[in-house]
Amino acid sequence: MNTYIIRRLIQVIPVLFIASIITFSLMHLVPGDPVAMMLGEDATQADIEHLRRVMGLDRPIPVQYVEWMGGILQGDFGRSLRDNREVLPTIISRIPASFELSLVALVISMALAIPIGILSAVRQNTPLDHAGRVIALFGLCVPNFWMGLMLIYLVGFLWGILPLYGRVGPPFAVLYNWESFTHSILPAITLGTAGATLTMRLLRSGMLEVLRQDYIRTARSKGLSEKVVVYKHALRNGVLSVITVVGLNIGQLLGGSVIVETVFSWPGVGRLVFERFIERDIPMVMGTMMFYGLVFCLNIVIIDIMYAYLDPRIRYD
Amino acid sequence: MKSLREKERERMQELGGVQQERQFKVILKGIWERPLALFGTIVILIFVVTAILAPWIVPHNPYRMDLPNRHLPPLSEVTRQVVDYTQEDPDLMFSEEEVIYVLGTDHGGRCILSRIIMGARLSLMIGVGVVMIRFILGVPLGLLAGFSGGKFTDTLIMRIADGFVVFPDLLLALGIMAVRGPGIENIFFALAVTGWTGVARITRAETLSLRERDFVQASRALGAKNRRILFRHVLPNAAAPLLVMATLGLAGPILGEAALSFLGLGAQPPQISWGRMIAQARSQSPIIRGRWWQMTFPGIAIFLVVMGFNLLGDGLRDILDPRLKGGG
Repeated sequence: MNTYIIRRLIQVIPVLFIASIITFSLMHLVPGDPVAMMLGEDATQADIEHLRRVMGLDRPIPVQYVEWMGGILQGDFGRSLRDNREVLPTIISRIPASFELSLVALVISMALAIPIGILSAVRQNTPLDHAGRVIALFGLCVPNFWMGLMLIYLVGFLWGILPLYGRVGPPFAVLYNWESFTHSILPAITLGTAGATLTMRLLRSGMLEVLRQDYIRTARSKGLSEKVVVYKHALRNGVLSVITVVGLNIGQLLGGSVIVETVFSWPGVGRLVFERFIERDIPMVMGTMMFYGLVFCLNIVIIDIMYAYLDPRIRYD
Repeated sequence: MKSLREKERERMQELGGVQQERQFKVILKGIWERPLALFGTIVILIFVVTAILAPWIVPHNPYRMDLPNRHLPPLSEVTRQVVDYTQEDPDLMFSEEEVIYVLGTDHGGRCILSRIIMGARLSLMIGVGVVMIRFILGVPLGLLAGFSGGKFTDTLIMRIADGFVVFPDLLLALGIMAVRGPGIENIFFALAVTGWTGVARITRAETLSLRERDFVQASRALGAKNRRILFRHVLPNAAAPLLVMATLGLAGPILGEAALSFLGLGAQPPQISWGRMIAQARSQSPIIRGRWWQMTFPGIAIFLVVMGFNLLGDGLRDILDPRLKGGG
């Protein structure tokens, strides 16, 4: 098991290396002059030259990459162009808000998606299955920013049930403070929808796959009740696909957070990304991209390790 | 003496290769038999026809401001002042006409229905254009990786693809937009560059499985060269999954453009984009004013187009890949 974990961690390194090259080349290979763009149309040639020197853009590109990467490996992601603060602490300060929102979104979406996904498969082609598939289709096709706005309008404004937007209380207050929690419900639903529908679809097909296996037929033919077959034999094997799906779900949460946090004025990493991307705060852009890449890779590795832990067949691959 | 082509055709029929002429009829028949796929196809056709005929079927000029008639709710019947500059006599220049705004007006008094109809052009153009560029990048790379199967080229291409996948959905596109600045051509670039990996992955997987198949081996035994095998055998037989991928893949760029335009990074005035219409509704009409129609209808348009492509794509997958029937 330990060798498996180490092997998976080592496999992440080349992927992150390429991700870092993609991030870095964004600045240098994309047509147009990022420095001139950052300074706007009024900048003089001297201004541009100055900023270029300050950012170290006048040196050879390989040297720049090595310096940038060396900094990142030591936890130095550079300084923001806007407020001259260090990039990494700024990102870290926004993590709690994003984390708690993702947590609520994950709980809500899994609490809905897992039962529906399993029941859809067990009762295939019944009205319940069709209803589940309609919900899944809706979640797949609806633009999340629009869904957020509609929720704000309907639930928040017209019916007045929940707060419109914003976040209250200290970090992680959603876990114990009722008001903080109610503020997080609408953004969490919006954020969780994409992952929830993905979960439903994958879990349904995963369970259908398990239900077709020989050991299920054996269980049925030896006279076990349908309940025992489904919950003891099928579900235990179907749970494996749930884990993959939760992992994918976290990926979806990361991706969706930029838009959802912007729509709901939620002060997390996603909102930071949007603000700084709009302002062309390039060091911050590169820093957040590497940060997201790292989180994504770690997420995948954790999922793989859980998977290997629960399914011994994988370890000996 | 039979030519290589004839020999190949015979062998392919024996060994289960694709016959393309029949495939098209199979697809049409399959769509006809599946209510959801048929519904999706009809929705898409309506939007495509709307987009093509847009300038001729809009009830009002989608760009013309009508300031006295701002923020009108749906089905408003009002009088609009018309200025006719071709008239010399000032008294004849101004006249009034009765108009009806079916879906209401926005903050500039512009007809929302007309703007949605014009916006269909941009949305579909981005969808089709981005998918085309993704395929132009992804298919050759996937073929190359699959054909060199496991060797250095394969590893290199697939590792690069992995590097792209690390970034969540819109983040890389946002990064590119941040550096390149807003605008439609940059949206094309950003969405195309970030999305080719999926295409490459599917093409590679198909190529890997196809090159071991009997009819490809037979063709190789008959003396066909790599290039011939690729273009006459592998690519046509990989066409079905790629077609499914292209159809399902249209939804992504359409949603992506809407989201980027919503964030203010995409379409710039006077271009009409559904995402930007929603953004303007949000910034110009505070929630407490209750002008729900300004953001509701463009959102429904996005939803319907995306749903159409998803339904058709699911249907095509059922038709072309019976293995997956009932699976998803």
